[in-house]
Parts: sequence; C-alpha cells; structure tokens
Amino acid sequence: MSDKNYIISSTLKPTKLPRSFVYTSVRFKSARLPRGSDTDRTDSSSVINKSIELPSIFRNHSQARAPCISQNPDRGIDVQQLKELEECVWSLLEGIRGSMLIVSFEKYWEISRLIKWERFEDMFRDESMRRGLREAVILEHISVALTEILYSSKSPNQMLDSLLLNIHQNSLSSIQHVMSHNGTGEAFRDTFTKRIVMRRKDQITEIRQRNLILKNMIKSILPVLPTSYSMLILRILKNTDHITIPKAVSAIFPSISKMREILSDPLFPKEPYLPPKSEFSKEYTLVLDLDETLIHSCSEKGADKLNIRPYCSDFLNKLAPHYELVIFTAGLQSVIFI
Amino acid sequence: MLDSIDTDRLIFHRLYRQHIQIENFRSVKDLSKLGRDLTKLIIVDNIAENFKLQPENGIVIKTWRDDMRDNALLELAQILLEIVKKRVKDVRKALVYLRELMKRQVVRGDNVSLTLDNFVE
Repeated sequence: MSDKNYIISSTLKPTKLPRSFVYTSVRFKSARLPRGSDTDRTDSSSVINKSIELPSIFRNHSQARAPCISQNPDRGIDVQQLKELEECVWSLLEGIRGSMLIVSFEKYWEISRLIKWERFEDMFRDESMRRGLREAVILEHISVALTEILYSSKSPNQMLDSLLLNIHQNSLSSIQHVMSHNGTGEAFRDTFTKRIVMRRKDQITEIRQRNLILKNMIKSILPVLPTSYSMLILRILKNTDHITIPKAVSAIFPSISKMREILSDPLFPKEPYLPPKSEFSKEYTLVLDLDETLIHSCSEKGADKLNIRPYCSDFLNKLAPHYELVIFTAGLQSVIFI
Repeated sequence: MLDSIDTDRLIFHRLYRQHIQIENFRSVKDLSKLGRDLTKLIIVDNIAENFKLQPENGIVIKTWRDDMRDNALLELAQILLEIVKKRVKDVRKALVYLRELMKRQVVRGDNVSLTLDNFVE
C-alpha cells in the first residue's frame, strides 16, 4: 500500500536527484573583455559564450564606474548593471528553452546583490511610477527564484517560459524608463518634453498591467511549492507597495537551494498525503501527535527509553472503530517499520 | 516504536517529518494537505503551534513525559466519542463550543467537565 512511501530512516539518506543543469561548477573565467562588449546585445550569436563570460560586474571592482544616469554618484543607478541583469534573465529564458547548456542563476543573484536598489527606488518622484517599477523588480526576483526552484531539464517548462518572457519584457521597459529618466523631476518646459513624459506614463501602465499578469502567473505556480515558501511569496506579493527591493530579495533568496532540495527529494510527499477515502473509511479522521502526546522517548545513560502515556492503548482501541487514525509526528525516529 | 503502542494495528496512516513544513524554524502540520474534509478532522497535539494553520481543528493536550497518574487520554477519548455519537457535522464548531464551555467553567471556578449535551449545530 502507499504507506511504503512514508518510510524514512536515518540510514537512508535522501538521494538528491542530480541537478538538472550545471549550476555552480562553471566559474566565470576572468576574461578581460573590452569595455562595452557586454553592454549591448548586438552579438546575439554568442549567447552561449556570454553566459560564461565574466560580466563586467565581476571584474576588478576597484575601478568604479560612474553611474550613467546622474552625475551625482549618490543618486544615480548604474544602468549597466540593470542591463546585465536583463541579460541574465534573457539567458535564463534561453536556458530553460534548451538552447543552452548552462543556466546561471548564481550570476543573476550576484549582479542583483551589487545593484543599489534603494537608489533605484529613490529615482522616481512619481509614486505610481515608483510603485510600478519596484513591483516589477520584485516580481522579477520572485520569478527567477521560482524558475531556479522548479526548472527541470526533463519536463516542459512552459509556465516558467512565459513567466520569464513577461519578466524580460518588463525588464526592458524598466531599463528604457530608467534611461529616459533624468532623475531631477524638474518642470517640463516644452510640449516635446511633455510628450516624452506621456510616453513614460504609457510605459508605466504597460509595466503595471504586466505586473498584474505576472502576479497571477506566480500565484498559479505557488501550490506546487512547500507551504512555508509559497506563503512567504504570497506575503511579498500582497505587500509590494510597502516592502523595499532589498528586503524582498533577502526574503526570497536564502531558501532557494533548500526548496530545490526538498522538491528533488524522492521522499518529498505528494499531496494529498493520505490515500483517498474508500466506502469502508470512517467518517471522521483523528490526527495524533506522537512524542509527548501518546508516548515519550528519551535516552538515559545511552539507552533509549520509551514511556507510554497511561490509557494509550485504551484510547486507540476505543476510537479506532469511529475514527480513521493518523499519526503525524515530527519525531526523529531512527527507523520505523511499517 | 510505534508498534509498541499500536499492537493491534489500529493506526491507518503514518506521516513523518517530511510531511511537516518548516516555518520560521518551527514545524507546522498543514492539515489541508492530508486530503481529508476539514469538517471531519481533528488533530491532537501537545504543541498548539503545530496546527496553527488550522487552529480550529486542533485540541491541545498536556505535554506528557512520565507522569503515570495522567488521565488526559481517558478524558479526551470521552469527548471524541461524544462527537461521533452526536454525528457532528462540523467538528470545528463542536471544538469552539467545548472551548467556550471550558472557559466559562474555569471563570466560574467550577471543575472542568466537558460535554456536548447542550451543543446544537
């Protein structure tokens, strides 16, 4: 019976499925590319090479680059870094489509970590703009995290594909937006500037609409994830207006590898945990904890001792005719024989 | 170990550590994942936080280690049998009723004696 699936023992280490793609073994070679070669995607034939090339961000960092937007280094954001992030999303998309062998999520998170997101948020005076763009960035990080967790080379990834496609669209729009933004919020003097501003407003509407689509896509993916993580993501989705980008990222990022591990664990239980009820099943179900509820196990002087709570077998015998009895325990039993 | 208390093989299903979600370093038993109707499901645990996702389905039982005079299971069996006898449609309502009843008895300083005699759904 399916109960077999529930056997766990300490001697049986959960066998991790091989990672479906090379993830960390490829180090970025310390290429010294001419400045600008990674700036624009004119060279689309070398997408594969690009993925393992050292992005400028990994190069000697002492030579700080001037922010592209503002002359004031305290206020600007490095558009170059945003472009690198966009490029990462693009190569992830190509990667999950199978046209590339190497998918580097690590690179994405590395670059994101270097971006001064608080400056990004501060750049926009217009509240609606700021919210839209911030939400887009948060959704992008969530989507990359979900892709990293759920991506598999063995099964189709249509959902992740369209997720990343939308993310990438947003990313391009955001960069365009940042580039056209002067960051000063000064009054618009002529009709030409007004038109540019109006175009920006259109972009924001586009981004916000896409954000909405993305949110729904993410919500539809969440149920396959462990509850703790899907609840975390839901909380972030609800609060994109109130959470800063770095905060969101630091909530999303740390559990990724753990989630992958859990999901690739062959012992990861498939829902529902219990087999369907049959016509012989009892109407009621009673879920019982084990340790410190029915029994108590402790080790004394190296010997395991098991105490059984008074009336325990009485309890089980009386209730078994009326309840489907389920033991649900967090205990660290070394070996359990079913 | 389980077999030592379940000599007659009364327990149908056993769920272990891998079914438990870890949240903020605390374990949570998510009852919605069992595939059972929550109106007919009760969880008994000595840690309330374990079922905090469905608190209305839970009964907290005193933590037990070695007190051989403990009779919590005896009392609990009585209540659980009453729920069956009354053919309660939504166990969560019965548990709310019992909780309220217990509160009133404690406030009045009465001995706690729980029954569904006056419970109507």
